[in-house]
Amino acid sequence: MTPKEFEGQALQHTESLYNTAMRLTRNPSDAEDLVQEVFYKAFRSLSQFEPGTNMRAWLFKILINTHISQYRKSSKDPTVGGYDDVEEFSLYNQVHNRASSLSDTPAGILDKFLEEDIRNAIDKLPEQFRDVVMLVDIEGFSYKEASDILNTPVGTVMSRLFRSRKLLQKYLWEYAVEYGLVK
Amino acid sequence: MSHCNHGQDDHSHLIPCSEVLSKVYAFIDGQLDVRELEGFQEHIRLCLPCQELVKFEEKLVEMIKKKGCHQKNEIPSTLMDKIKQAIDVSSKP
Repeated sequence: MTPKEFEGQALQHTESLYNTAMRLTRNPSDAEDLVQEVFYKAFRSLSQFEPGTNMRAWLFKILINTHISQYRKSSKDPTVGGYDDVEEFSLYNQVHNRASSLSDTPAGILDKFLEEDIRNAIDKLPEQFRDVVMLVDIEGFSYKEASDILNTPVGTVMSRLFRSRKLLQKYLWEYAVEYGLVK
Repeated sequence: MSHCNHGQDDHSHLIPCSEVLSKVYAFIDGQLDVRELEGFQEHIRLCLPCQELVKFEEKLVEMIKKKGCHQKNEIPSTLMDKIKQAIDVSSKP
C-alpha cells in the first residue's frame, strides 16, 4: 500500500477519530492534538499495517494507546477495582420492585431518558469501562476487535462491558430519582 | 436468582436463571456459541420473568447505541491542517 492510498483510506476515519478523541479528552484542542498524533504515528508505522486488515480498528488502537500514554500517566488505573457492587445493580429490578407505586414498566422508564442523559452517563463511567462502551456500543467494533484495540483478552472486554452496562443502569436510576421519574 | 417458578413442569434440564443473568449481554451481542444459544433461548421461552428481563436489557443496549452516540462535533479546519502536517512530517525519511 502506497502512502497515498493509505492517506485516502485513513482520512475517511477522521470524523469518528475526532469525535472519540473529544470524548476521551473532553477538550477540542487536546482532541486535535491527539488525532494529529494518531496520523503521525500511523504514517510512521505504515509498514506495520497489513493491507486487507481492519484499518479503522488499527487507527483506533493507536488512538487509545496514545491517549493512555499521554493523558492517563498520572492516573494509575483507578478504574479496575472497586466496582464489584455494580454487578448487582439492576434498573429493571429497581423499577420492577416498585411497580405498584409507579405507572411505568421497567422498559417504559427507558423511554423517558434523553440523549443527553445517556451521553452523560457514558461520560461518567470510569475510563476503562467507558472505552469499552465507546468501542463496542458506539463505534460498533466486535468484542474481538475491541480486545485487539485495548490489548486485553476478550473475557476482560466482556466483563468490563457487563459492569459498564450495570453501572450505566445505576447512573440512570440516579437521574430518574433526581428528575422525579420515580419516587 | 429465585424469581423462577417453572417447577410444576419438568424444566430441570433448563439452565438456571443465574446463568441467563450472567450471559444476557453475550446473548444480546451475539457472542454465545450455538449450544449456549440454544440453552439460553429455551430458558427464556419458558421463563417469563427472564424473558421480561432480557427484553429490558435488549432495549437498554439498543438505547445506549442509539442515544449514546457522540455529539456531532464539527471537524475544525485547523485539524485538517494538522493532519496534513503530520502526514508530511512522517512521510519524510
